[in-house]
Amino acid sequence: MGEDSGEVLNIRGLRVDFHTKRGVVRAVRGLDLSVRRAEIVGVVGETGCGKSVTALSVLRLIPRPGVISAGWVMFHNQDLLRLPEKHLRSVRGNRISMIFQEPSSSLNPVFRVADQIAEVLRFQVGLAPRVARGRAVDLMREVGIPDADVRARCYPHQLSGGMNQRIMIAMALACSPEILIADEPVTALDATIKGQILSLLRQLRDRHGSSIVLITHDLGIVAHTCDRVAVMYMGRVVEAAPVDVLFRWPLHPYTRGLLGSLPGLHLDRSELQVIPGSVPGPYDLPAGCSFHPRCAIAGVDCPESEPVLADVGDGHLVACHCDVGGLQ
Amino acid sequence: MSELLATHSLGKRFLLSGSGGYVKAVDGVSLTVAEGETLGVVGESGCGKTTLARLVLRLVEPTAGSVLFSGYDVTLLRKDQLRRLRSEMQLVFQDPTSSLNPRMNVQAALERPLRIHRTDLGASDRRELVSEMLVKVGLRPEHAVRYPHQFSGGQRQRICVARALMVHPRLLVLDEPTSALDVSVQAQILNLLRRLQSEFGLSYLYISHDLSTVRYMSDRVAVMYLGRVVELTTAEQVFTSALHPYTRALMAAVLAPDPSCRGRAAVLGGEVPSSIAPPTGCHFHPRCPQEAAVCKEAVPELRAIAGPVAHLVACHQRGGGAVPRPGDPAVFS
Repeated sequence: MGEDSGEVLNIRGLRVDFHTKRGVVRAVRGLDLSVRRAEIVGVVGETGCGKSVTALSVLRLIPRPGVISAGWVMFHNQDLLRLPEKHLRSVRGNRISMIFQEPSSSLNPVFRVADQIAEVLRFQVGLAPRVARGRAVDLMREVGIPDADVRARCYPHQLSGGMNQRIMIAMALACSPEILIADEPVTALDATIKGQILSLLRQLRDRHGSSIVLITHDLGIVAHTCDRVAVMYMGRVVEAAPVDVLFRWPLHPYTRGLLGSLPGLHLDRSELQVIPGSVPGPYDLPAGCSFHPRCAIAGVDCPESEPVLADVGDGHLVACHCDVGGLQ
Repeated sequence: MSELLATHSLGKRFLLSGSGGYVKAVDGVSLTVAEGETLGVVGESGCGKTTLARLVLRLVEPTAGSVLFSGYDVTLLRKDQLRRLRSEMQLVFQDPTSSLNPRMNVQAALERPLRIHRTDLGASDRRELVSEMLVKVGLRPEHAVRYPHQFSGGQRQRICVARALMVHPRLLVLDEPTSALDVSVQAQILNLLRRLQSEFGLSYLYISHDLSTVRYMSDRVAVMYLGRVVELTTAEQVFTSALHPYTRALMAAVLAPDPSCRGRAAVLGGEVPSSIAPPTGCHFHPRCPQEAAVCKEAVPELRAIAGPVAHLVACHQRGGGAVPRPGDPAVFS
């Protein structure tokens, strides 16, 4: 996990547990993920697979009763999980920033948008108030807000969802972070606005060389935006590969099921493929491979032991007991 | 195919408190749904698609136009007549969790429509009909005694579909039925809806913002923008030879799950304007790449385009018998 391989973030063996009255929910169960410089990595999975918890863990923002119980999050040879809170603060929002799904609820409704961006510049970069304010308007222009000097004086409720998400991105970019973690950044936005925000994220990567971790449930967004993708199921990465490889040769039965269940834009009206059953509840985690009860090719080993994420060639990682490599 | 549902210049204005102004949520919408047909209605948030659904069932009173359901004008019916007609048109909502009463078990929830519309039935008849329906939607009879929280999201949507079908309606209005569900579950529900449609001979008014599910479900598609229908034609035509610049932009914005299509998704500039103060003339003109002077002035009518299939479009640039040119250079290249 050296700098020479270009990795800026390396998550190894991450485990996050939530201790509730009904028992322990293992939200993340030994997750491995690496992010290289200027790379956009997609983390995709369905509700409850642990993708948002993973994102929050990187900056130790897990709310109670969640506890990070094991693992490392290596960022430039320092483990963020063991860094004193005081030092972590200089990383949060500064070298690693986050944006969330619902922009209007992440912004403070009683402050003007430019002042909210300026606040980051004052406290993280130490700019004087007047300078910070001017730089905030520049940032608004950079993220494509028309009439930035007018909009600067607006409150979040006066702007549309797409504009508010641009404000969030401007705020996240205020300190030119090395890594931007975007948790479902376009889910709340309309189809024609989605494309605008995603191309903005790509431009920012190209211009600043930031790495982006894009968390989403939408495989279309991954296909159009990411360089590499990790598919999560029940708290683990089950498959990870460069985007072109994953969509052309999906190997894990879960990934294949997900891709097959999407209605395409072609005229095929035959029944959609389905993954039988549904995602198990958080308290009844299946033994062994957690996908085996829904898997068409599950064998005798599958309920017994959890498969490890192994490289089947060219950086294509799969966690499956069956000889899925042969499918390639 | 005969017409089951027809709306004529249907409109709904909501008064804004304080300012005295109003929002035209639905503005002069004329649509038809034939027996056994699925009409898809697609558009972005705030385009009026959900208000349209509620108008069809007269859950809100229209401020203009009429709704004809199998020949009756729904907007003129007395309360008791409306109640009788409602057993023939049912609604399935987006969020199955909030549309089921958490304190009612499945048996009670599914019996409710029977108690209202089929007062001739006894308790044992009702129980039997509930078990039959549970099997039809892919659940088991023993699920009847369970409560909504004991089911997954997909199963809850199956319960909502079952409840809507208990009184054997002829029209089912589906308002974003899968957008609260995960993709692997979405496919299960879409398959179920198609199977039930052929089994019961249902007509669907399928409302969604997701073009790929609209394509999968619909025979014909209406595209809405700020309360108005801008294009109406067969599903195939909409997806292969759309004429309205907004429809084309929507199609171009679809992110297909295929990295080789990367860069092909064209990005439409601007934002959806506020429906409180919509642009004059054609609502789409400020974002339109083909905008001309007339577009600011006059509202374009929804007019038929000459061609082999029925194709209506509301655009000043595409009226008057212009022949559709499939695959002509995209407007947004």
